Amino acid sequence: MEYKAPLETYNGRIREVTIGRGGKAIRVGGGDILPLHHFEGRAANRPVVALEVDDNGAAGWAGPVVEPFRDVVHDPVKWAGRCLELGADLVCLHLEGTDPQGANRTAAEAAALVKKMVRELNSPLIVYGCGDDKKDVEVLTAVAETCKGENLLIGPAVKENYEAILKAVADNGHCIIAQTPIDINLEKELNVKLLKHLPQERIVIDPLSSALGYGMEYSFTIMERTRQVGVVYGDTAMQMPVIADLGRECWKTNQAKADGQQGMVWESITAMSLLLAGADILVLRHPDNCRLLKEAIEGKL
Amino acid sequence: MILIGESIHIISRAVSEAVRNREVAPIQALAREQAKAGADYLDLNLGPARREPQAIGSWLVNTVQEVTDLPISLDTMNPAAMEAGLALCKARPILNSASGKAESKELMMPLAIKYNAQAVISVITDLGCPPDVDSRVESIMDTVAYANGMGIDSEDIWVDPIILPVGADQKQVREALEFIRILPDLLPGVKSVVGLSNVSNGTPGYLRGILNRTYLVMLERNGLYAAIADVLDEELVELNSGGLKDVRVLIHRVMDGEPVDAEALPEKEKNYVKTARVLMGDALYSHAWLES
Repeated sequence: MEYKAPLETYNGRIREVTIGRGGKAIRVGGGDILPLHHFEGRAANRPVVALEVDDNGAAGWAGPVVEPFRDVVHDPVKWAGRCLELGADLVCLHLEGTDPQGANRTAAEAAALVKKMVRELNSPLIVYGCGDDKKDVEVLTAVAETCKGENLLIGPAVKENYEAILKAVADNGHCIIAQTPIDINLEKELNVKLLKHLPQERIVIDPLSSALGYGMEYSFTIMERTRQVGVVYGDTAMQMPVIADLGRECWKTNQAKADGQQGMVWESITAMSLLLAGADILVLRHPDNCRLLKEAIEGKL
Repeated sequence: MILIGESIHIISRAVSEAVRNREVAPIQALAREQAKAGADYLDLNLGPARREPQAIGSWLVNTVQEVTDLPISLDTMNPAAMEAGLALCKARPILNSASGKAESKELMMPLAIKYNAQAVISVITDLGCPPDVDSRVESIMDTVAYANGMGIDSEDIWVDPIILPVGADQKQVREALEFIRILPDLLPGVKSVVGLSNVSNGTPGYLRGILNRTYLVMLERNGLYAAIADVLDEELVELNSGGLKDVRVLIHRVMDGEPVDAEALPEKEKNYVKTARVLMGDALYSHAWLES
């Protein structure tokens, strides 16, 4: 008797989100399988790896992740270019410099920087605000308007400020990052609200990523469940790709600060784990780990 | 189904202030309102009653009995408050509640015998609340056997499966539902009771009612005997007395896994169908469950 593998097929389909435009655009998500279950169906796109760039001169960054960029950390555009040279699929710019508790740069300054980066880089871009929900409305609205039509991936939109950011993103042709604090029910609630104004194809879910030893298992579980609910149960509010913005979390751990080699391990293990949990976009800080994760994704490990 | 009015609850600020200051008016108003709304029993929840437990237990029971003949479900984990209150009850009361905890077996269960009270017995043990149907069964079999051995008849035992909030642990909602369904086969003769509103704890206030009402219909279908519930919710009382037949039928169909085209229904029916799906675990819960 011929052996037939007991394969599952699923009702749901993860939507494909396109970031950037033209020939350089990157597609994430797509497919109708659980993470890496290539034997069960079709994954339209491989997960992608982004490297993080900061607009604040890498203030507070650990030595080993500054090292590859030491000569360019005060020029975010050049820094971003270096990330692409070193193999990143795309760049994730964190606008830490706009933080009212820190350098408090204006929305206009931040928007001008993003515009310059988009022009000179000619590559898709993820833009995160500083995480202050009031300031982020100003900054991300300015970024969305100034870069109208560039199809950036912009966030975080959170419970407290999603309405304003959603409007700026929807009106100016971008995609949005929906961020919730490691809670599947809150995650769905925010998605439901966003889906009233934006199609699934313009939303990426950020369930928040915690580092190994700092709650990574919670992030893992939420990402895993997100994918199960979307694919297995066909919940249309949970069928968007997931971003794991994990590099910053790993490099601020005591372990990474104490020992650079340990930091490398922390970042790579966290990234590998969240990849298995279902992340479609991994944001890292160290280019060597970017290469490592890309090899893993391409099946070369 | 028997409805036990939940409104005289120490967590309510108005109630806790009235109890502290021994003001009879707010308490008696709540007792009258609930009696008028159709409550079969009144739950008097004293909480832990750390200060003056006896004085509070007897004051509250007397205050309520001045305005209503309804029997009382006395709800406290403090044995001293429980005893003081039970001693004064005119109609046969319910002791709410005992459990499989060693302390409860030792201090609460004997009070049910001493004062000829019916007893709510929950599935909780010293290990906490059992996480699934099988462990709930295991726990309640032990505890009921213990209570029977002590002389509490099964007919006087109201088993409480412990309802957890849908927003905290969605799976538990269905576990409790299943437990109620199989209970008569496991322990013939015992009754069942739930703290219904707990299912919507943590949900925004204006959305709690529909969760409570939908779950009531589901539990009733599975054989629930009594619920401690918000009897001031008119639609809940209407559903409990056999009203809103179309809504009940829709909820039953969702329970049976039949296809229901929610979008084709009027708003009210659609919302009940969506809520039933969330409670059955067919759709992931979020506070926006009616909007998707």
